[in-house]
Amino acid sequence: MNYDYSAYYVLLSLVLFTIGTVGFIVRKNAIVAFMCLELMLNAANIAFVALSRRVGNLDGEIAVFFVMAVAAAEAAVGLAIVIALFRNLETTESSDAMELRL
Amino acid sequence: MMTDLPLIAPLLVVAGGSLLVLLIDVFLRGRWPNVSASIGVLLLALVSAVVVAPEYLSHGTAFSGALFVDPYTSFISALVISGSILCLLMGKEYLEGEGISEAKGEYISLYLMATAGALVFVAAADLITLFLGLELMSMALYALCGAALYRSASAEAAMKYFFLGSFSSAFLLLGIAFLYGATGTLSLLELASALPESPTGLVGIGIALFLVGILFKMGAAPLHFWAPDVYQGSPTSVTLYMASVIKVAAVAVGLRVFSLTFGGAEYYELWSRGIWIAAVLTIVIGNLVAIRQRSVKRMLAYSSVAHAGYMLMGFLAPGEFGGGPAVLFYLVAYAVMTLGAFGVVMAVSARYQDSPDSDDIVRFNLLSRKRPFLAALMSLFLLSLAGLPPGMAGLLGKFYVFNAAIRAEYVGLALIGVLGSAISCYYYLRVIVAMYFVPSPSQAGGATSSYEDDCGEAIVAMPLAGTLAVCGVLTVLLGLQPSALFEAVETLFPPNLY
Repeated sequence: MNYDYSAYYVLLSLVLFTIGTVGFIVRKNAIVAFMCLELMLNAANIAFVALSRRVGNLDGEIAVFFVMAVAAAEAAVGLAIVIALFRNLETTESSDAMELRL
Repeated sequence: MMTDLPLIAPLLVVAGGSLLVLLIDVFLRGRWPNVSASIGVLLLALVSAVVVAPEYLSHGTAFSGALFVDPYTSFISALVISGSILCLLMGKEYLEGEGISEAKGEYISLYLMATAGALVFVAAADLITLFLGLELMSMALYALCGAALYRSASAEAAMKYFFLGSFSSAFLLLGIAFLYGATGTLSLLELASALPESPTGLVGIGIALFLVGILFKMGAAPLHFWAPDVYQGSPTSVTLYMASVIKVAAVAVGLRVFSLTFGGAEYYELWSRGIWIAAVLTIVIGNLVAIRQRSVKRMLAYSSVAHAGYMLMGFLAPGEFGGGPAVLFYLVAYAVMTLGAFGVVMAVSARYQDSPDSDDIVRFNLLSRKRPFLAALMSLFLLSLAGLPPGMAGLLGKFYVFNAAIRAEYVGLALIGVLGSAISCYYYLRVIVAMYFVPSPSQAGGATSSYEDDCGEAIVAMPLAGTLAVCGVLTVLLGLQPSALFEAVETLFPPNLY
């Protein structure tokens, strides 16, 4: 009845985090990379909630609210930066922004 | 709760100042508040930090265990605020040339917000406050890097810093989640006692992910790859700030977390290997790649990577080995020297803002003939960074850190450090040689005389000259009277607590 399922959710969060990481590394489009970042943050959120259940206090669940606020702020800053890049280079492909090399 | 409010007076002043600037800027577009006003805000914060400093002698926490109240926090906060004042003052007259003319109000507001974030970050006593401080600081910085709106290098630097910074923050966050899952607490103090006797998998992964996040912010290899691009592409007035203040904050927090929370013998075994590898990689890569840079800004960026490696050596010698005070001494000396060096680069490159290689080493040729004082100051900073006399501050900093590493029986690492600084002499001296000895092409034969007119010029505004002089005096003083600072930072590490 009171079986603790939190391990499965931790596993889920790890899977999502890995998808986010791989996507971030593989895809070159700034918007897609941005989505992968959000996925990673939300994977950490799932881990927080699942582990909060497991250790039996609410600190982790409170942490999630802060992380959501951070993710929202990150969206604002990140999209603004992508727009600034687009104005200068007319592209959102991060591989096209290669001015700063040796 | 309310009684704790005076304790964070510096933070309240800086954060409130930031919001006020943003608000006033809406009504008085561009005229006021200007840079001088925000320097006033920071000065007020510094004064309040000094006023509340006696309250910080207690080694406690405030706000139900969210912020540390101890001498360490007080010292680092004062360092962060004074560093911010110097950076802002240095860049004051150059914002126009750096391309930050339309959005001056936003620039100042973000600058103050980044400082507020750094203050939260260094005071944080629980992991969520730490994460929030880090993000507040970083988020403002991402935007600052792109402050030169119509220069594509600036936008590119902002994008790279934003994506890689957020990527590493996500790792840090997952690490925090795992540490929480393994111990059931987020407080840095309680975590130390709640950690299991011997490291479990969950804790191990948690610490590793946490380390990734901190190493990234410090700019240590193998997570340094953002630093050269971002330092070069950002407006120099922001680069100054990143290389000094942000580095100070990241190193100070890393030192506290790894010596206080993960300081137990079992856990030291666990993370010391990771930090050892990172330190070796950082010293080797930083120094070797710096050799082949033509852009002086980029060269200094790699040098700041290498210096992060020397500081990491001190991490490995906690407690009675004396690594903690050594790192703090190094940190102060490094911040002063780097600030000075980047300041001179800003003055020299100010004339060539429109060309992509405005900070190429060729721009330094003949500087000593036209600007002898500037060249002498630059030589002092570079010699000090290299650890050569008469720049004794850098030499003593390295001595303290290497000494601590040897006492903790990391002799091999200390040797690599010494070899690394030997290599570093080459690229620091190359700039000095360019300033003093490189002949103009007309003497070498062939080129026009207009080259010589064009060479070695620099635009030195009053505030920059003043702050450079302050940095120069501090560098000399730290070299002549190191014990004053060293004994002061030693008292920040009471033997029973760290």
